[in-house]
Amino acid sequence: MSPWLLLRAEWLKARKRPMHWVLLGLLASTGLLFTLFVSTRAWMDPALRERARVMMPWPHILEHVLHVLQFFGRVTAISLTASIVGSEYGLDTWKMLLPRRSGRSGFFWSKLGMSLIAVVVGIAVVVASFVIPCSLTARLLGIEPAGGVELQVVGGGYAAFFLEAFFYVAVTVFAAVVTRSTFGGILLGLGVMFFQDIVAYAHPLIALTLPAVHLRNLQALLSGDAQLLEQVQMAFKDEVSLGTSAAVWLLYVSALLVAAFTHFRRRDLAGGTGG
Amino acid sequence: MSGAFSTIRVSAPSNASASTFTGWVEAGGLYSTSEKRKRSQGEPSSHFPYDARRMSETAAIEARGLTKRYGAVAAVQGLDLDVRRGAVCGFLGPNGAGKTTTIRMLLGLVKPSSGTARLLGHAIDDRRELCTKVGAIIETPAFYPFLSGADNLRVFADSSAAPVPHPRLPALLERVGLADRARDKVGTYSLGMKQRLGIAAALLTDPQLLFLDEPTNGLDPAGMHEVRTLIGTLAQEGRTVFVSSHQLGEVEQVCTDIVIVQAGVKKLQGPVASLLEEGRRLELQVAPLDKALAVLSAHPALEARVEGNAVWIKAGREEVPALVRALVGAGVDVFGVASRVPSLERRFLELTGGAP
Repeated sequence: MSPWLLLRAEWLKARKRPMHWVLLGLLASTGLLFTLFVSTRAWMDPALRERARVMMPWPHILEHVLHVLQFFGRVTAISLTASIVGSEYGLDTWKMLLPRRSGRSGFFWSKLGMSLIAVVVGIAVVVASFVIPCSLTARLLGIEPAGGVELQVVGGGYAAFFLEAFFYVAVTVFAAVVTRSTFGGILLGLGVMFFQDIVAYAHPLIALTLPAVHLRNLQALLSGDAQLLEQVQMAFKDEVSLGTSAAVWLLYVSALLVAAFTHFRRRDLAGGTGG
Repeated sequence: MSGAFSTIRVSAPSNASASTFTGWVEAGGLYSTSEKRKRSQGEPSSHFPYDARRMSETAAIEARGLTKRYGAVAAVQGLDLDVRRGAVCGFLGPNGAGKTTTIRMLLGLVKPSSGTARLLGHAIDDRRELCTKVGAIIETPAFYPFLSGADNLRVFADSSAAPVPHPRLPALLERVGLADRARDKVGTYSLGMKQRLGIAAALLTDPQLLFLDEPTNGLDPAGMHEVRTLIGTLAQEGRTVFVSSHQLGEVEQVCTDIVIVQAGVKKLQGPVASLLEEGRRLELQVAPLDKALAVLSAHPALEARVEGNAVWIKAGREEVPALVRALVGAGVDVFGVASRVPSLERRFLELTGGAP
């Protein structure tokens, strides 16, 4: 019962934090803006109508949302996680929480759990913000879907994105605990994201060592994206199996979380300036 | 210098005569002669209403050699503490004396570099037992400003090891006088309201031992009075309250016991009444002062000093007739003799040699 109560406390904090609503609002606005932009262009320009047929109607829109998530989703996952973990340091509320329990592990795992829930909620908001207006608009404008989409394959793509987001959640949890701040969590989380995207493709050895290309490999294999798979194999200079990339993902996520947990559990919370 | 010593009379605990309090549990373990005898013979202590040998079973707070070092700097150095159950113990010291570090160590937020401590008979790392029996406010209480007072309490209730039924929360808010503002965001609260909410949060699990770090900080006089009354009520309910404070007047009014630390080292510990009694002095209204001082200087134990228009000496009531005879015999006019107890502030300054 107790872990659920901790998670309930985290949910209450996350739900009522204005910054989270701003982030979700920004995410939701991307879908609405996209719908407005594409539908207007499609209505005005018949040439774009064909393009809209493979983007707007259900279930095609799900594929498009996945591309949006690749960027905005990662940034949002990092920001939400940094806020959930780092704000306790910024507000100095750990001193009010930690003496209430025999250990610190419950707090750590509930924070991780809430971060993952936030990622899922973020994905759901983005999907809803695209799917609902796009589907409705496509129907109103009489845009029929072109070609078929395999929901199983799209689902694989979303699963791969969740794994990628999980990796960045782990990076951010570690960064926020070590730097004891929301800002540190965001800065290091984004730093790792951009650094990996730049460096990982520089050499096959780096591609094999860092998780970035493995995350793309998981994406390509799970969503059956042949074009992406080709890029990944060029980076690796070889084929890398789903199992290998999954193992690399697991290794990095586990190492980051164990390091963060150990640090969190052992570190003094001296804080304050009082006597 | 008039007014430096107040004329407040402090009565000694009923189980001890004033003459018993001739020594203090000071750094290094200095006790009065009678205390030493009693302790060595296993008799009940005059300072505490229980047998000192059974301290570990009955003490609310017990620390031995508690030390915290940050690099070469010792924030707390070899601190010994003995706080009896049911006491309201004031924890005094100048800024940087190690008060908050000590409290953080006792609450498991900071690991001691060395030494041991027990709360309510449990080792401080036995958090499973302690987390529901101990409540605390550390420095200024911290909250989630975007949540209401009631929601903040919900978060702390759900974060507690023992389940705290949410229906209890309105009663707690009522108790600290925040029922009317329970739905308002804490970001809009005054510091005093945050202090009161902090006390409500500390009481969530109905703890036996409460640590209150500067509980009246930022409160107006009415708020301070409310908190003092609340602390008194908590003590009447049988709880032990450990109050860190700079407000010496507040400590004098509220606390039964006191610990004074300075530069990470304990200077003194014991009941407030006996601390003040220790500082008792005789005020001699005499003339001429220089002649009186010359007579009294022959007895260094009297620690005679001139303050204002009087001579102050450290002497018992039984010594007054002989002293007066000696003064009159030397041609000194004696206009009055009065026994005075100093204020806690005065005693604190004497003991620490600095500002509170």
